[in-house]
Amino acid sequence: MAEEKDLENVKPDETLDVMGETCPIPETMAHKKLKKMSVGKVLEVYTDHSAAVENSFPSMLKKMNYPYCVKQTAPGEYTIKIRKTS
Amino acid sequence: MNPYFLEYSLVGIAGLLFGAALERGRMCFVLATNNIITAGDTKILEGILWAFGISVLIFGAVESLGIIPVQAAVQGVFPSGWYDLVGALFFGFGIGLCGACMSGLIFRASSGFTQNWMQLFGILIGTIFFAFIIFPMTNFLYWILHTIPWLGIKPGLSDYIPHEWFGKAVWGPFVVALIFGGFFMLFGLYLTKRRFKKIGEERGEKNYKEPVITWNMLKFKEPYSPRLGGLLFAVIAIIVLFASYYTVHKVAYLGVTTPYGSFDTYLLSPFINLYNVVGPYKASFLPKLSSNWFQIVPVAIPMTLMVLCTFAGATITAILGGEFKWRVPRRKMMFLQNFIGGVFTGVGARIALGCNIGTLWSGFLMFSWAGVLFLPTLVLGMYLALKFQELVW
Repeated sequence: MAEEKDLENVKPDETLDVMGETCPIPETMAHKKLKKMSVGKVLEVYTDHSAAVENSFPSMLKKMNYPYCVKQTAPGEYTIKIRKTS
Repeated sequence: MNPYFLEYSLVGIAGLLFGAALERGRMCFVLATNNIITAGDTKILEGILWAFGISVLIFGAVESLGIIPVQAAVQGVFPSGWYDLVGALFFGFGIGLCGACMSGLIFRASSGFTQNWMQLFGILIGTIFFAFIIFPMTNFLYWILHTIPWLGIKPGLSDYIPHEWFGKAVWGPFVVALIFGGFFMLFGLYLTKRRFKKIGEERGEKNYKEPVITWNMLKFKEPYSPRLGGLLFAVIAIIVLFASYYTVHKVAYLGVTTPYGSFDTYLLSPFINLYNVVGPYKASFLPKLSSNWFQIVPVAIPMTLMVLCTFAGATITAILGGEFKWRVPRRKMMFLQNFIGGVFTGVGARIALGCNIGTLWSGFLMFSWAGVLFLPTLVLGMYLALKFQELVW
């Protein structure tokens, strides 16, 4: 699933703050949180780990087939919005 | 020119390049492994395979052509044995807990991740812990284990695979390089082709490709492709080899953890005479290095400068790429996790006589069995750490 810009304005149902933490924590915790959420809900992840934004999250979400959108909020800081679709 | 000055200068430049390649190419063995396990993504692994493949092939050619005599290359070879397997398991679990291998640690700490500074502190403590507790124990274990022939140590020439397989044939190193390096390269190219095909199918682009290098990468606007990082890795290993041989005529292979141990010794020397403390334990399982672990090297060696310059290089490119920022984990528990992971990393690296750079990669460059032995338990350790974290967090 590619990036979905429409998600940018959607209010998240759940948030996950993993600022300052590196792989595999951000994607592992996001994966666990998504598992517990119901279909259709949106998770917002706060991270400052560029490698996770560039590699780990896109690969994982592509595999899970979940739409997502990445926004840089400050230099080196990002929010990733993910919609659980299945 | 003073050959030592020339060697230090060249190794320093190689260190700066190494830092840049690490930070810009995101070259981390843990990241590569985690991406494969969690998402089947091979992008980072492809870069690592390029690094291994290109450098092994060039080292084989250099030795077979006699540009660097085999006799000189062999003198730098580490002995391999059971301790590579055991050390790699500890090391793999440690770096898995921290989410950063020895090279990944440098680029993350240089980008301002404070938890990786804690990992570094843990490594220093783990190294000391090894010297006082594990080292005497492994020394004792050696006396038990060396009675089993296949676990025994084969020091010196007999651990140099080209001599084991092909005797003194000059083409031996290149043939061994073709086998190992060729496998790494072909596997890397296959994974790249497979990944491009998959992305192309998803995007409906028949000939999808990602460039190895672009202007934006060189202008620090985007990270390097891991394959460019891998190419730079190979160049750096070759600079270190040539710089050491043509300046002080002693072949040196790339390594990162030995300076940490030396740094420990340096810091503690005003307080404890480590030689007297550890001295009675003869390190008979390290026949080529020293009879005393703390005597391996002094702190002011080219590799120490290399590590310092690697940190500097990674910090410079992180600043230029707008990536540098002091990052403190929200959950302070991560400091403890990284400290414990660091202790495992330090202990494992000392048991195995090196890390994923010095024993794994340089093990292949030395054509010794060290790299082959280090790899399986390293992957197992990282896998166990990932599963442990999935369970705990």
